[in-house]
Parts: sequence; structure tokens; C-alpha cells
Amino acid sequence: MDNGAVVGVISVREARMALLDPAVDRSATARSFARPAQTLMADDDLRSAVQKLAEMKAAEALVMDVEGKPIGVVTREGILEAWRRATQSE
Amino acid sequence: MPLWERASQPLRRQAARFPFERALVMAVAAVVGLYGGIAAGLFATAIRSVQLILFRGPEVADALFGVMHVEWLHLLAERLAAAHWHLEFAATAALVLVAAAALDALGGKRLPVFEVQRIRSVALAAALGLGLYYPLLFLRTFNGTFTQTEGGLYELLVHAPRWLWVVAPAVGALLAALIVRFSPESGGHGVVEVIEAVHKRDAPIRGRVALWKSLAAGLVIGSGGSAGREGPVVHLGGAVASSLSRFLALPRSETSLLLAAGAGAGIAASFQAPLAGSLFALEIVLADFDVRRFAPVVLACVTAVATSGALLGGGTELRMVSWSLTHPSEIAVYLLLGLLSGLCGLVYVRFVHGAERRLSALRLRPELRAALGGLVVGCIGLIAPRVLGTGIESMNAALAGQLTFGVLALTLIFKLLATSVTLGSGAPGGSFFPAVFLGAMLGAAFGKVAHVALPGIISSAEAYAAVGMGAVVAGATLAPLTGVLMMFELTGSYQIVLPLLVACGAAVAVVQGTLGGSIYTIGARRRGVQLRNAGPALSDLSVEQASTRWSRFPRSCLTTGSCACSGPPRTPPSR
Repeated sequence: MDNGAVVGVISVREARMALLDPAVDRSATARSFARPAQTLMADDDLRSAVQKLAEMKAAEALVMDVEGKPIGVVTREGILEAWRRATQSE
Repeated sequence: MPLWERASQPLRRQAARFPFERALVMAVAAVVGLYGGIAAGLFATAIRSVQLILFRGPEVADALFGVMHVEWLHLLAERLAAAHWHLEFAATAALVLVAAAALDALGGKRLPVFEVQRIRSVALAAALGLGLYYPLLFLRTFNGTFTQTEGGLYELLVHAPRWLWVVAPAVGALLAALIVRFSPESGGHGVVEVIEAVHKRDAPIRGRVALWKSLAAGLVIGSGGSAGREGPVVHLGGAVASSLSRFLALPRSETSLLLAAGAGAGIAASFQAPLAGSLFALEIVLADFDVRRFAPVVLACVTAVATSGALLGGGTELRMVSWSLTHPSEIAVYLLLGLLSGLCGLVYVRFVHGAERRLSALRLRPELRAALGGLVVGCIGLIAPRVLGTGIESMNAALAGQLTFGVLALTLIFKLLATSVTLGSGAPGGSFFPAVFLGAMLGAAFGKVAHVALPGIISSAEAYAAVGMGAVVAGATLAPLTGVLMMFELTGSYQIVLPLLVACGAAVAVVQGTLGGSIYTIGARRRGVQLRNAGPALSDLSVEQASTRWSRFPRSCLTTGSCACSGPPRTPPSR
């Protein structure tokens, strides 16, 4: 986070790999590992969200509100779960 | 390379890309439409024959077996000779067969065997469909040899003895029930079965069943049972589509498309309304407005209307009415009619399904139940004879403004009861036509009241009958566009569209809001059909509904950094 703006994302696995990798300098910051954050808007529909995730080859994306503040994260599992909930309640 | 081959190469490349499957589907759609058109004519004529035999028994018996036999045979031969034989039908059928045979002989080496066989079976089906014209012609001529009366079943009833009014529906229902016992799938409304076949795997409609169903429904309707004649026609169209696509090994998506096209063709031919038929297929049967599905459905409906128009001399028995809007503020009055029509549609759906549930719970043999139902309908007919049969002549009378308010109101109420009893007792027959009938009665009655209450604004009470027809249909079937287009096509007046849209929209809103399903979807759901559009699509949900909000995470999760992918990196992970 840079003044409240998202700089990038880093996964647990990547962090762990970095720790175990002797070639990585101990003074490296997360910033140097982070990938550019993939984001979706909170009011996007799930169809386009799935499309975007597939295009970005990403498993999850940050969810932004209208002001551009990150409010959460959406994952593939989350999308499936939401769809299951919605179809079951019918 | 010779010049000729080089020149034809791009053409051949195009030919290789020819969408064969698509063309085949279109051809089958046209054949299905052909069957729909002929079936509508054949069915209407068969109903008339049943009516004549039942209500003019002595005359028919005299002619067939009695003293008048010789003269009658002469008359029949004379009429047959004078009839429109439409030899172009036979010629077209022969031409189609010859073309298929030629393709078999010549193209057998170039085309795959499978495709040749497919083309041959479509051609055979088309020829058979065209050939069906001749039994229709014979039946029509047969009907024509007896004393004709204008005005359909009602006129026949007026001249028949009263005891026949009660007995005939019972006999017809009993015979139909015997057919249903012999072929159990032939009961039911017709449209629901097609919807079931569209939305369910392994629920094909067999051609034989459709024939039995037509016979049974003809007996029920011809003898005075209160049901619509479009149901069996829809079923037959669906059966032809189902059989052909199974025979041609078409994929499931194409099969359901053709089923819908067959159903739409049935409606289109029954009302001479190709647009309404197409919309019926898309709105009710497929429940989907995919543009790619439009072409085959429209083709089937147009073929059906053209065929039945050519056969029956270009008209349904439902008469065209002229229509005009006199005052713009009438729209508000039409809104009220729409709400009332919604209520009427609601009561109709409730009554039909309620009667079905109640009557099937009775511990009676199905034949006895049907016969009892027929008796009850006959007794209702004693009070209000216009409810018997399809009631086309009464609809025409209502549209022409010939009925008084008392007759309209009485017929409206008793038609509701009679149709519920007829369909509820298990007799096969359609539920679309009775909705049209109810709408005509409701609209005409409403128009009479409105005319008295607001004489300055409302000029003609009959205009309301036309709008009521569309609105009750829209409400009962939850298909606003079908209702609008049907009446637009029947009246041929563009001005009617505005009040119709208002009334149909209101009627649909009332039924959708209270029942949440139409007469078809409720019936289909009871048969265990999962309608495809029951749940929301992915595009109806928002990302927010699927996302995990950070505020829900426990504080510790954020600080330890173990949830780096799901927690905000408030503090950059040190080290």
C-alpha cells in the first residue's frame, strides 16, 4: 500500500519461496516481488468477472469500490459459491 | 491445371464451408411447419365431423345406411369431383421424392452416405405431409354433403334435442378416456408435453401418441367438451419435430429448437398469426430470445400459415375485426381492463390446476371420471350453451357486439367452470383457446359497462373484447408479446398495439406477481420439469456478492501475514 493505493499483490507461496531461496537478498521488500494487482469493481457482474480472471490467468482479484479503495478479494471459489447460493435459494 | 478447375476452385472452397447441418435444420423446420398447417386444418375438419355425427345423428345415419344412401353417394361423388384437388400438392410431393431419389443415385458417391439418408428422410416426410391434404379434402367434402349451418357448434346445438347436450359431452369424454387408457401419454394439454420435451432429456414425443391424442381431443371437443383445439395441433407439430430429429440424429439443442418451432407452427396455423406463433415458441416453449433460434422458428410458422391458408381458403374461423382508438385517454381504461384480465387469467390458472388436483385425487376409474366430467360440462351447457366446444362462434359474436351483458357475464363464469372440469377430468385438449374465449367475454362485458359509465370517452364496446382476448392470454400464459401480436394480427390494426401493450403488461404483472408461473410452467413443474431459466445467471450477480470482505477477517490474520493473499498488506511483510 502506498498512501492507501494498492501497489501490487504477493501470494503466500511466493513469499515462502522467497524466504527459502538463498539467492534472494534479505533486504528485499515485498514491493520487489509483488505483481501488479488485478482488480475488479464491486458492481461488476460475475460473468465479466469470470472473463477477466480467465484473461488475466488469475485465481483471484482485488475488489475495489467506486472510490478506488480496495474492499476485499474475489476468488474463483468465491464466485462458484456465490452462484451456488443464488441458484439454491430459488 | 485446366482453366475450368482453376476458375471453380474458390467456389468449391465455399461449397465445402456450406453449413450443412444448419440447412438441414431449416429444411426440417419447413417440414414441421407444413405438418402444423395441415394438422390444424385436418383437426378442425375432424372436429366438425364429430359434431355432425353426434348432433345430426339421424341425418348422417340416413345418408350412410338409410333411405338416402344412393342420393347421398351421388352427392358425395359430385362434390368430390368439384372439390379443389390442388394437384400441385401431389405434384410437389412427387417432385420432392424424385429429387431425393436423384440425389441418392447421382450424389451418392460425392456426399457421405449418412447425409444422403438424412436428405432422403426429410424429403419423404415432406411428401407424406403434402399427401395428408387428401384425407383432409375428403373429410371436408364429407362434411359438406350435410345441411350446412352458419355459426358452428352453437347453431347445431340449438337445433338438437336438449338431452343430447348433456349426453354427448359424456360420451365423447368416455371414448376419449378409453383412447387415453390405451395410449396413456395422449392425455394432457399438449403444450406442456412439448415444454417437457424441450427442457428434459429423454422425453421424446412419439408420433403415434400425437395421432391418438388428436383423435381423443377431437372427440372431446367435437362432442362439446370445453377445451381448445390448438393443444393437439401443437402436440402434433412437436411430435413431428421430435421424431424427425431423432431419426436424423440431430443434437439436443437443434431438437429443442425444432420442437419449439413445431409448437409455434401449431399456434400460428390455429390463429393464422405467424408472428404470434413465433413469439409463442420463443416466449413460452424455449423461454429464450436467442437471435440464432429465430430463423427456423419463423420459417416453420410462416410455412404453417401459408399451408393452412392455401388449404382452408385463407382464413381461420375466427373473424377479423376492425379496430380503432377513439380517444387517447381510453388507454387508462384499458389499463383497468388489463388488471381485470390479469385477475381473470389468475383465476383461470388456479381453477384448471385446482380441478386437476382435486379430480385426480378422486378414487374413480379414469373413464368414469372423464364421463362424469362430461356430464357436468353438459349440465353447465344447459345453463350457458355457448361454453360448449371451442366457442369460436361465440367469440365472433362477442367481437361483433351481438351478445348482451347478461349472456357475456354468464358465459364468462360458466366457461371457467366448464373448462376446469373438462381439463381437470383428464380429457385431452388445449388450454390456450379457452383463455382467448374468456378474454373475449370479459373484454366485451367490460366494454359494455365502461360504455354506460363513460359514454363520452368510450365509443365502441366491442373494441374491448379484442384487447381482452390478448390480455387474458398474456396473463394466463405469461407471454405478453404473444398476446399483443396475436390480436394485432387478428385485427390488422396498428392502433390496437398501444392499448394492448398496456393491458397485456398489466395482466402479466398481476399473474407473475401472485402466481409466479403460467398455466404451462406450473403444469410443467408438476411433471418434474426443471425449467432452464429458473435460477439467476452469472451475469445477474455482482462481484460484491462473491467477494470476501477484509473487515470479516480476524485481526490476527492480518498481522501475522499468513493470509497475504486475502488480507491487506497494511504493513509490508518485514524481512
